[in-house]
Amino acid sequence: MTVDHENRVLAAVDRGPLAHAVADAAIWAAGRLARPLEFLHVLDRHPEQAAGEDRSGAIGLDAQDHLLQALSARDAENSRQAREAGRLFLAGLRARALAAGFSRTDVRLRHGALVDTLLEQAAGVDLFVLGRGGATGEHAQRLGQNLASLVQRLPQLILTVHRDFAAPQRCLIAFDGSAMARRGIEHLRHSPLLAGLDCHLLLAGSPGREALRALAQARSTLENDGFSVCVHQLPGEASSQVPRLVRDEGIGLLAMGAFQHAAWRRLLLGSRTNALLRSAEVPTLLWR
Amino acid sequence: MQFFISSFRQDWLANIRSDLLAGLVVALALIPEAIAFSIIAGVDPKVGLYASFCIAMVISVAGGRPGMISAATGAMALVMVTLVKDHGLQYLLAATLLTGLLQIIAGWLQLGRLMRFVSRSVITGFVNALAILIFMAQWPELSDVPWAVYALVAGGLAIIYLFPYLSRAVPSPLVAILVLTGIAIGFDLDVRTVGDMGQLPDSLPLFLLPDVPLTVDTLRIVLPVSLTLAVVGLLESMMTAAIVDELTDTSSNKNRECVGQGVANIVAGLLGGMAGCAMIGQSVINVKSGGRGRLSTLAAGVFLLLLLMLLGDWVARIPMAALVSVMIMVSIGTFSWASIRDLRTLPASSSVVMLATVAVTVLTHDLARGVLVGVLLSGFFFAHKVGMILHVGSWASADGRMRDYRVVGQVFFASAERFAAAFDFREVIDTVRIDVSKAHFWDITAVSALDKVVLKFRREGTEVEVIGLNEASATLVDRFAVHDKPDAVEQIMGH
Repeated sequence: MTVDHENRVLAAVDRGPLAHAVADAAIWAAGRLARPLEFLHVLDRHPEQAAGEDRSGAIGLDAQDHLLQALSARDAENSRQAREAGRLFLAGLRARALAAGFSRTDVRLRHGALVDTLLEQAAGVDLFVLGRGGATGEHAQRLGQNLASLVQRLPQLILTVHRDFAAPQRCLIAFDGSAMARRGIEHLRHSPLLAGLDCHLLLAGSPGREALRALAQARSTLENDGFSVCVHQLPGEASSQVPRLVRDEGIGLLAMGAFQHAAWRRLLLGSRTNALLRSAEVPTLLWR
Repeated sequence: MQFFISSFRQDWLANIRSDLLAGLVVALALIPEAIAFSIIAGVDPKVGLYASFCIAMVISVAGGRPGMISAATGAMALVMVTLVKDHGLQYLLAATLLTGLLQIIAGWLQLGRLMRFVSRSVITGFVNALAILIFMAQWPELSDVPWAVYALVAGGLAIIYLFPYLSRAVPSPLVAILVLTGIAIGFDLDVRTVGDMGQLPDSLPLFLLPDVPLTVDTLRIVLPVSLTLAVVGLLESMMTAAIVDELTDTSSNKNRECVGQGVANIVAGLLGGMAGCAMIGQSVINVKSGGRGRLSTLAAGVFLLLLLMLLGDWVARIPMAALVSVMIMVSIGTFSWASIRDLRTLPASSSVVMLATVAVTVLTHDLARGVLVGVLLSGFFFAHKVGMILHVGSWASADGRMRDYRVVGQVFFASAERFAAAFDFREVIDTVRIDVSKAHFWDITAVSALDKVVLKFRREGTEVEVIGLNEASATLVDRFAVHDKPDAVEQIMGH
């Protein structure tokens, strides 16, 4: 495999408060995976939103032509500005990576919707890094939806960040014995991403015999691969146990399978993944 | 599911503030138009007002173009004049129901796709004709009236066009109506008011089936009008959808729009409203005021209903002159003035198509006929133009016993005669070779023209050899299915 076609770490950044955290996480991950890093910034035009200053209700000579010219001129101006701002923003992130000692960085500015763009780019990517939820509630909600459909449609691991990023020393794997959880263990033991980190395995609630056996197996698998593993088998909901463990054990990264249920079920019952994501204050590694 | 949720958000909730404000502006502008169009059609103002809010509300959910405004329109009102005059309101309501049904069928048959045969020139002609007809419909209010009416209309126009320089926060047509109504009442002017034109809505509309006998005779009366209404309604809706698409740089679902128009008309007919369709002027106003989502259309309908409930008594006192000035604004804003400037620069054929569409529409008062003539004419002109792309060259052999003809270009009904005339049958010669491998035979007329040429040569005792007929006639089949295969197109057109 030549260097040109090496799989990369793709960080989706927008000009929000999380940009630097996402960049730092991506630099950390790319360094551990020894992969090139690409910062992707998507310019999403929103023609369904409008600024209407003119409520005069009057239409004059060639109203339609004039309106078309005015609207397209404004769109053109906004697009140009967004493009320039996007370029500067990406150049800043590249400089940040360089300052952190990481030089194999590429930047890419694209038009389109975030989810579609990421799906298009999925080939040749080892790991996605995304910010989840900005300061405002509406934004967070939209990203939560995006995240669900991304996790379900992308086969890769997805690292999400929701506040400042610091390189983790200990990671917590939320384990429920399901096929999805076991698949995740397989993902992780072969990936250099978590190599050398202290691993905590959490099995919450009242597990069946099947789940306990899977837990024991996961533990031995990880230990065979050289992880130091600490198992926590605790009662109650995972979303209440995770924040406590994070605090008490100094966990820096949460890893879990996510969004295994269909969209309609999430809509009716709420999503366990979303509850966990909201409660976890640390970067989270997701897989499907 | 995911898709449904996200498109619901995008269509309804992405632009709430601007949509609501734009909806209010549109509702205010709809009142005078709905009244004026009812008067054009010859029915009580309430028929147009009921129709307008029913159609706006239904189309906001059922339509295929978010942000487009539909209501009672001038184009439709003009079609129903004779029916109302001869048979009355109940037949109009029946015709409205049938129109809706026809439009739903058109949507299911995906007839929206036929819009691609309506050329730019025809659309311009339609829009211009519509503007002229709306303007002409104001004559009855302007002829044989006291001088005060002219003063009011002029004052109204001045306010409509000048007030936006003072403030763009309030719809200027509304200001004009308020001021003119105030003047008319204050000075106790003896001018006609909306109340003189017929009944205004005093309650919510009632659900009623039209009171017509369900006989073949009724169908015979109603069907021709319904057909025209359905065609005109869909034409204007498709055009308006294209305009809104272009303005907002988004796409719309044309077939859903056809079905939506049908459903809206059926609901309007059952609630005592006249048939309507999308409105070019109102949709432009909506987009201009910031309306983009379905919410803007729904808001326009709801605000219109609320305004009527609250202001019903005052609406009756609006002088007709105020409505006339609003309608003159609508016709000026709808007319494509650039098309007059472009007459000098555009090719004569496209100008002829545009002018013919306008002329036929204005003479017959029927937009459907105007468009039909325009479409036919543009078809003729296109066939004529392509028919010119044909060249037949020839050269004799050294011994003078043989002549090679070489045909390059398009052979079809419009060029077959020119094709046949290009051969010299009187030349005394032993053999003729006709190479058609660089030509395209598009139809049976072309093939039979070639047959005739061959026969004629044979009658003179000349041997004929045709080369490349297989390549030339590859274009004969009706279904090419090459649109997505560049190689196949290359093969057919480039051989």
